[in-house]
Amino acid sequence: MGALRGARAARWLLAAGLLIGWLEVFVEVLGAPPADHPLAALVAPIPLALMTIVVVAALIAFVAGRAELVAGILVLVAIAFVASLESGTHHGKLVPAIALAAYLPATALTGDARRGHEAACGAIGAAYVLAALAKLSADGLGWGQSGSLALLVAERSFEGPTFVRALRSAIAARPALTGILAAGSLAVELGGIAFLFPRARRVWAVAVIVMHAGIALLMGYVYLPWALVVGGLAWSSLASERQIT
Amino acid sequence: MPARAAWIAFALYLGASLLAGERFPFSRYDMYASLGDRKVGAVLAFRVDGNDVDVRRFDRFAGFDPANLLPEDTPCSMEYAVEDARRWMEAHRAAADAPPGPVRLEIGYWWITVEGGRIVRDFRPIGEAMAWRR
Repeated sequence: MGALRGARAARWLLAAGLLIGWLEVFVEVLGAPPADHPLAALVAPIPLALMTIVVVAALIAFVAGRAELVAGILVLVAIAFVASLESGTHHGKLVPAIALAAYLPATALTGDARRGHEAACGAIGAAYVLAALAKLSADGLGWGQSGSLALLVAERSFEGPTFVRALRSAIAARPALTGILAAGSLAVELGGIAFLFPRARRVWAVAVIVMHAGIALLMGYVYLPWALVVGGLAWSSLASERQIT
Repeated sequence: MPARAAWIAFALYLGASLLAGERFPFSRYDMYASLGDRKVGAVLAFRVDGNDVDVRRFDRFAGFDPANLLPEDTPCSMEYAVEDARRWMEAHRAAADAPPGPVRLEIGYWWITVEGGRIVRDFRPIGEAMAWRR
């Protein structure tokens, strides 16, 4: 079984997503330390480097399936700490963190890592549905059809490599195309509910990965941790081979 | 059929996020959804002799307060880029008694509209700074 052979891949990919999310927030916080946080003294290269070592060690333990509850809680506490320091919500860290936050209690309460895996998939599906609901509550089903997405892409045609700028300019100038892209991304996000159904996971994961690649190309938002975790959970399992068999 | 654990986690995270808002690990994942139905956009730009330049190629800025980089009512969706530039200028201010740099940086926004399959750009200055090339 493919899921068995790749049983540890989901853990590696989740760990990679968590580490990237941690580093993204880490770099942002280091660049603009908060002045009024009670733990602001910890926002310095050495304390943050030490915390990174702890996070990496905990992630390695999680991947290896050693003391995973303690290791997972350590990672979540560390990410929650840096998240409390950032000026706005840095969404890159969220999907890996909620996958872990759903996996740990479900596994601990049931003693079955397969249920933890299912819980992680459920929480991730909810995150994408929430993103769709935000768009629907802002603009209804017509989100992105009025040219607002074209404008977002046009604004981003000022940054990036030359060919990316040219591509963004060309696409922004075609409102019909940006309308199709907006409708497509809304459909994929609403389709987050498909991640609850094991048989639909891989199809939906492909759509999500394509969507994230498009967003990265046209908008410059690289949600690599999200794509890694969705792919990992769709093609592999957080439950170890021993737990599956 | 989905496992019960998936449904429970889905319902709990969805409900808790809607209630809690932006409190880690919850979020409403608003991101750029709330920008609404804009007709005009704006992109921060630094210019020298009429050409766009990267602000990170300069330092020891004088004559412009970086806190004023994003004037009210500027329809900019790229606050992260403005924040990056603000941090850079804050961290590379000229000393109070230093002579002004030789480069005159024009600071402003490209105002953007998409009209009839064409992107229309209009530069609107908000100030000037003197700086040194790095």
